[in-house]
Amino acid sequence: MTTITVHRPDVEDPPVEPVQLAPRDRLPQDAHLLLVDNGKAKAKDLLRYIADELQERLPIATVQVVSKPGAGYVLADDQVTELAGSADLVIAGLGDCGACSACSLQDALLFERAGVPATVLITEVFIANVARFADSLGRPGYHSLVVPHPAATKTDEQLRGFAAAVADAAVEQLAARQPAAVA
Amino acid sequence: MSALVEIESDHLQEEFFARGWTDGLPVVPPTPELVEAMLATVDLDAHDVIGSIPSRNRSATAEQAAVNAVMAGCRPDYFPVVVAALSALLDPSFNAHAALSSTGGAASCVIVSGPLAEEIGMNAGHNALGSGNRANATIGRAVRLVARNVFGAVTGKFDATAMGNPAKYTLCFAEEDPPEPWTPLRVRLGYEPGDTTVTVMATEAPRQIANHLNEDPEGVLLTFVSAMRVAATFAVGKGGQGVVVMGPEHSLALRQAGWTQEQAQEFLCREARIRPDELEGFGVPLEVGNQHDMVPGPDGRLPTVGSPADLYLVTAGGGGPGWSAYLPSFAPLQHTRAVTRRVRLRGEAMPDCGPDGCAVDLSSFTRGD
Repeated sequence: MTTITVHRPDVEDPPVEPVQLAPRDRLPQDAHLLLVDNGKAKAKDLLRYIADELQERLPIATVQVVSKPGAGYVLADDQVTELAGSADLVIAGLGDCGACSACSLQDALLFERAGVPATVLITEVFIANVARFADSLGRPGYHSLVVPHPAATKTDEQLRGFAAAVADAAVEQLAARQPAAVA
Repeated sequence: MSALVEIESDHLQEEFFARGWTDGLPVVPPTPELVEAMLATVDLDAHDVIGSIPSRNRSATAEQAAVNAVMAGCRPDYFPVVVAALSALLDPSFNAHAALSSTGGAASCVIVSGPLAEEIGMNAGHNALGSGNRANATIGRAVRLVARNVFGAVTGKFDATAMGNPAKYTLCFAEEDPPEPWTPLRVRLGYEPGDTTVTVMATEAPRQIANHLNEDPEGVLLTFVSAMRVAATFAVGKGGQGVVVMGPEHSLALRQAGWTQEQAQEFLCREARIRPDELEGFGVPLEVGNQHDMVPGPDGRLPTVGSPADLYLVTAGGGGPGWSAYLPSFAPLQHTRAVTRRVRLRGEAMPDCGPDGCAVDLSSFTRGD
C-alpha cells in the first residue's frame, strides 16, 4: 500500500469560550425591552407585536427599537455595551435569510455575554442555519423564536398571529431560569 | 501549522471527496513540498494571518491559503495574486461573513489588473470569463476553496445559498489594458500603471450583453442599461455595485466618440436608475422604512448602482461582432462593497511612508515614572 502525506485543507473548529446565559431571575417591575431590528421587511412590525404580547405577560414598562443599518452586520461591541446598560430584555431579528439570521443570532449572544437575557427571532427555514452558528459561537442549542417563512409578505393581522404564537416561548426564553451552558 | 494526514494514494481523490474538502471537482494533492513552493513566492510565514472573519472566529493563514491554492491547481507564481484576493475578500468592507452565508449565493468575482496578469499567463482576451486558462480558473477556485475549507462556506454548514450559480466554482479574469486615453482599472483606483491589483466583488454570475449593430456610444450603453436595470436583481432599486466587462468593439465605439470611462460610468449609473412603477410592474414591492428605504430621488427614480464609482468598468474579452458582460453585486451597498489590494511579490521592498509617516523621534519622549 502506497501512501501520500498531504496537508489538511480545512481547519478544526476553533476553541470558543462558551456563552453563559444572562441570569433570568432579576427582571425589575419596570423592565426595559430592547428590540434589535435588523431592517428586514416587516421585522420591526413583528418585533413590536411580540413586544405588545410580552407587555401583557411581563412587567415591561418601556420598549425601545434600535434599527441596524444593514442586516448583514453584527452590532458593534461598544454599541452592545451601551445598550446593555439600560436593557433588561432583548429580542433580535428578523432572521429570515442566511446572513441576517447569523448576525441576529450573534447580536442576541452578545447581549447574553453582556448580562442581558436575549433571544433571536427567525423564520423556520433558518433553524438549522442558526443552530450551526450557535454551535460555532459558543452556545450550542441556543433558543430562538421561530415563525413561519416568509414573514415579510404577511399582513399585520397575520404578523400579530405570529407574535401571539411565540409569546409564551419568549417569556420562557427571556424570563425563565435556564440550564447551564453546554461545555 | 495545518495538520498532515497520510492517505492511500489510490484513494486520495475519493478521500478528499468523502471528507468534503473539494468543490466537487478533483484536486491536486497538497503535499508539503507543493505547499512550500507556493509559500516561497510571498513574504509571508506559514502562520501569518491573511485575514479573518471575526464573527466565525476564524482566520486564514498563508499556509492554509497555500494548501488550498495547490488543491485548486495553482502554479506557485499565481500565489501572490491569491493572497491579494483573499486579503481583499477578508476586508471588513467586503463583509465576507454575509457574502459567504447569504441565501443570495454570491460568487467571488476576482479582477486582476496589471502587468503580473500577463506574466503569469492570465487571459484577458477571448473567453476571458470562460474556461480554458489555468491561471484564471485556478486563482478563482483557490479563493473559493479557502472560503469552503477555512471559513465553512459549505452547504450544510455556514453557506445558506438557495440557488447558487456556476461562478461559485471560480470567477477570475484579467483586464486588458485599454488603449489611451482610457486608463486601466488600477490607475483609476489610484495605483501606479506598473502595479498589479486584485479587485474582489461579491457578484451574481455574468450576464452577456449583445449589441452588434450600433456604434453610437449612447446606443451601445443603453444596451448595457438593459442588462443592469433588471427588476429581478436584488440590488436594483436599492443601489449596489457592478462590474462592467466591456468588449473591444463596444469600448472602441465609446473611445471613437471621445467618451471617457468616467462619462460612461456616469451615463450608466444615471440611465440604469429605475422607476418605482417599473419595479412594481414586475411584481417587486417597494421596501420603505427598513434597511432598504426605497424612496425615489428628485428624478423620481431609484438607484441600480449607488454612484458612478460603484461601477467597475474593465476592458476585457476578445474581438467579435460586439459582446460585453455585466455582473451585479449580489446585494446593496450597505451589505457589501468591492475591495482592491495591490499584489506584493517576495522580496519587494515595503513602500516609503514619506517624511513623517514612520519616523518617530524617540528622543522627544520622556519616561514618566
